[in-house]
Amino acid sequence: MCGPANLVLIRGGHPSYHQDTWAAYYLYRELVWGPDDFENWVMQRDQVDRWDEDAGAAVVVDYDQRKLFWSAWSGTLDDFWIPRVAELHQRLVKAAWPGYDVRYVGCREQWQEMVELAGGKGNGIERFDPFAVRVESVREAAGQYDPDFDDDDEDDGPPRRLLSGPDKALEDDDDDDDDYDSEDEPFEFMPEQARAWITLIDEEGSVRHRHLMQIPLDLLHAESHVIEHLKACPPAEVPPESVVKEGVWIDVPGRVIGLWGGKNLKGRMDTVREHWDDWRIEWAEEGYLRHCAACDTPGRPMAEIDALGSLLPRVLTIKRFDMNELADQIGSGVKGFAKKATGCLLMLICLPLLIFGAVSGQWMAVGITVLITAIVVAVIFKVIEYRVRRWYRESIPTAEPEDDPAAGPLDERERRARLDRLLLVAGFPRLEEVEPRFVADV
Amino acid sequence: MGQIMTDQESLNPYQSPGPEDPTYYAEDFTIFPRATIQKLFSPVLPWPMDFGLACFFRATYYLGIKPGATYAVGPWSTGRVVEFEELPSAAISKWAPYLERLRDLGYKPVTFVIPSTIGAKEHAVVMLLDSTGRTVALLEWIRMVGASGIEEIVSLELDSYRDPASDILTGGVAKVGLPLCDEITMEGVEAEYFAIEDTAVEKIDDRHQQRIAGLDAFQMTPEVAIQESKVRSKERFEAMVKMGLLRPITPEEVTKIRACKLEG
Repeated sequence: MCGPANLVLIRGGHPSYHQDTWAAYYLYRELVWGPDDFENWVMQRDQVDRWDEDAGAAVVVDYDQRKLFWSAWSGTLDDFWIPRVAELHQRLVKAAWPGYDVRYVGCREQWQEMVELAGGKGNGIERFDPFAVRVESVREAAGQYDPDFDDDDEDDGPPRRLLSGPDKALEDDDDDDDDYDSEDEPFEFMPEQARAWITLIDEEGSVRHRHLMQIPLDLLHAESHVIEHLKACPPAEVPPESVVKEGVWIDVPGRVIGLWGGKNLKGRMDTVREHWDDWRIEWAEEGYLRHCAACDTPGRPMAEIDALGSLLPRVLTIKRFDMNELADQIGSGVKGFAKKATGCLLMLICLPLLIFGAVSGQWMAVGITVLITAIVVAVIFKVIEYRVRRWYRESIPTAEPEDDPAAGPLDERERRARLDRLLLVAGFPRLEEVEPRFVADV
Repeated sequence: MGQIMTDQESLNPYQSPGPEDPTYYAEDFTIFPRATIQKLFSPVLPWPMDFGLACFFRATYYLGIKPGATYAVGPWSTGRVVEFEELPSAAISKWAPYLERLRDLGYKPVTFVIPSTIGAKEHAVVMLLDSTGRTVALLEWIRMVGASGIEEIVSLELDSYRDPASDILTGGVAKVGLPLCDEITMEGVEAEYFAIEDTAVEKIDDRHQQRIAGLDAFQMTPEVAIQESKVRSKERFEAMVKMGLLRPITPEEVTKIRACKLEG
């Protein structure tokens, strides 16, 4: 589960290709520190002779033409690509790269341009389309993937058009699907998990909200079963903007479909217009707010300061994502469990003492005994923790890499001061104003 | 502390004139047996910590020590009738899936109420009436501090009224609150509860319709339903005060509780 990134720097017309095994997860962070720090960081990565086709991100910087094209398509960055957060990030990067043409590449056409800028060096990289990947169907996006259902669909020939009227084959399909649904566990999103927000205003004017992993292709292609399948999905609340990566509302009585989200979705608008041919198609620049207005709900918009509170801790951290980091995370999970277990054990040991105290009234003696017991248990816990740590260090070599873990200043105070100046230049609130809204878990 | 009443509210039968300065009440769950209190803690605390804490709270009850409160509620009748747009946006968002299902089942909203609360709690209620006029649905939203920080809780209560007072109540409440609901028995109320996280609204309604089938439950217009609901809610509120689940708080406590706010 690595996340390599292709890093291409062009100077004097000559591209140099670099690669980092984990940079796909943090590329957005490295870009915030401007052209010089970014170049310095890239030059410490491995130099290679071509692009890695398995990468999850790519950046091309042409220092001659002052162009910065970058892209990231790793699924693990979903929560980062909340449009409001991504928009603020783009503003921050533009402020950090003055005079540069800064572009986030999110669709096939721009990808081609980026590949050409980089010299197109790689095995068929120009034919590679990282943005083609999208969930196929409403059911799949709702976590109800049934391969048999899709196979049946393919056997039936080309996809049917939306609202083309019922036919026998579809009714038969639906019968099978009902059986499937009744046995299927509903998929549930974690509270902070990014999702697509779908709203269906049906023929009777009822407003139905749904949460899907992504806006699926069958919806974009207006296939006949879409409305029924959306209705069959579990009803959902109006999600806060902080967890919505893209949205669509389908107003059946008004024959309007509105979409908003990232560049990947925007790049598919022509396809949407082609398939929903007798509908009015709207691309909502105001995103979440327009979606709320379209379905007459106040929603829970994300304030700029909250979006910055989500973005800035990720920019400030110099954490490196690698196997050591992974091991640390597992280790802290184990330690948390061990702490709870020790607490329970302590309570078990002390309970008879407390009962003895209540019966005998000798609280002083009981208090001292409980205190000594607690100290002994704490010491034993620390000894075991120390031994486990020592065993880990001895059995798994953790050589510190020599390269910088992140672009920009590595000293915390200097890093904060730089970011504070950048916020000022970009017209954002100062760091000390945003800090109380920082998300806890980065 | 007095409620500001608009002309529209004063015409609404749901809104009683109410006292200018209502007495507030704090919840006191220490009246419940140790095992019930333990069930409240067991989802978030491992045994024997939940046991120890339950014993502690039960001991405070026997010793006459009242647990400190961070919020308090006014009598039901002092709630403020509001327009849909005035409801907290979080409540509207959370209610969306329930309102969708209730509307599909033929329920229609008849009034929206912000109950009177002080301190670290927000509360909103929508009242709906089904197409037969025999069942009132009360959909509630509460925002307060829970085991894992600030939590938003939605609960649903389906009520059918009969004379003399012998209400049929079918509820959907948060799983964690189920032991308490099962413990509360009120004269004139036949209650049955489900965990709202695990039970579809359709199932709760289906069960309620089974329970009232063949009974002479009131068939009500929206105005009558509002009035009846107000009367029954007042009776239930008084019953909870009588059983000690709600205790009147002192003016000093009111001042302290008012200073408590929900952060975040």
